[in-house]
Amino acid sequence: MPLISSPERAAAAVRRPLLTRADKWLLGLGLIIGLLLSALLLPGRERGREVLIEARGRLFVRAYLDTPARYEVPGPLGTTVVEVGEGAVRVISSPCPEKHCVRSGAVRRQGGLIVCVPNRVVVRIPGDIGGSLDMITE
Amino acid sequence: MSRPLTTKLTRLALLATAGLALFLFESLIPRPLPWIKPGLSQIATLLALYVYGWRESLAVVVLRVGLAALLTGSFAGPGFWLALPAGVTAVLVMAAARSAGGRSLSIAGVSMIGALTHNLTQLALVRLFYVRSSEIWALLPLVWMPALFTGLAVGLAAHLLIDFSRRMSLDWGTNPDGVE
Repeated sequence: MPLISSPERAAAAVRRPLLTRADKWLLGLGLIIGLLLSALLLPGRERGREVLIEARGRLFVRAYLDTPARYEVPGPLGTTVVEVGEGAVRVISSPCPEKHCVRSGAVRRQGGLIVCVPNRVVVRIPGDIGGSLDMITE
Repeated sequence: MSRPLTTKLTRLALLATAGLALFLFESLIPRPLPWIKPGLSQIATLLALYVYGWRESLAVVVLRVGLAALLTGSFAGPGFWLALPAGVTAVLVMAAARSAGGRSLSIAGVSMIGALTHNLTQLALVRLFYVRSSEIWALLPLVWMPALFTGLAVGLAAHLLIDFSRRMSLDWGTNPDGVE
C-alpha cells in the first residue's frame, strides 16, 4: 500500500468551484426535506396533560403538568431535580457536566422532550408526534 | 524516505490537535439549542480526508473524540458513546460520498452529507438506547436543518484551507521525493 494517497485528488477537489451544481442540488434537496420534516413534525402540537419522567430507562414517575411538584430523580451521576407545574415541566438542576437539560428550559406541548444523556434522565410529554415515522424505522 | 512519513505523522497529529482545540472552543460558545453544535472540528477531519484518505481521517476523528473525552472527564460515558460512533459513521459516509460523487461533488457537498450523517446517527442512537419512544422524532427537523448549514460552512472552510495550503506549497508529507 503506498504511503502517498494522492495529493492530486485534494488538489483537484479545490480546483473545482466552491459549490458545484451537484452541491446546489444537494442543498436544495436538503432544504426541501428539512422543510417537509418541519411541516410534518413541528406544528399542530397541543399542550400536554401528563409528563413521564424516566430514570435509567425505567419510568420514575408519571405526573400531571398542572399539579405543581418537584421531583428528585436519581441517576448514575447524582440527583436531577425536575419541576412540574402550570402546564410545563423543566429541569432545575443536574449533576451532568454540560447542563444541556437545564438549558433546554421548559417544555409544555405534546412530544416535548428533555434528555439528560449523562445522568440517564428523560422527561417527556407523551403525544402521537412522529408515531408514523417510528413505524418506518421499526 | 523517512522524512515524508515523519512529516505526515506530524501533520496528522496537528490536525487531531486542531480539531480538539476547535471542539473545546465551540463548547464554550453559548447555543440557543444546546444539542446543536457547529461542528468546527470537522474542518480537521475533512482536511485529513482530502489530503490523505479515509483511514487517516478516521484516525484524526478517533483521536479527537478520545482526547476530548479525556479532557472533559467523560471518557467511555454516554456522551462519548454518542460522539464516537457518529464521528466514525460520518467519516465513512463522507469517504463513500467523495468516491461516489467523483468530480461533481465538491468538499462542501461531502461536508453537508457528513454533518447530516453525524446528527442522524446521534439521534438514532439516542432513540435506540435512551429515549425508547417516538417523541424523539420531533427533534428530526431541528437536527436536520442546522446540519445542512453547519456542514456547508465547515465544508467551505475546509475547501479554502486546502486551497490556501496548496498555494503556500505546504508540505503534507504526501510526496516521497519531497518535491512539489
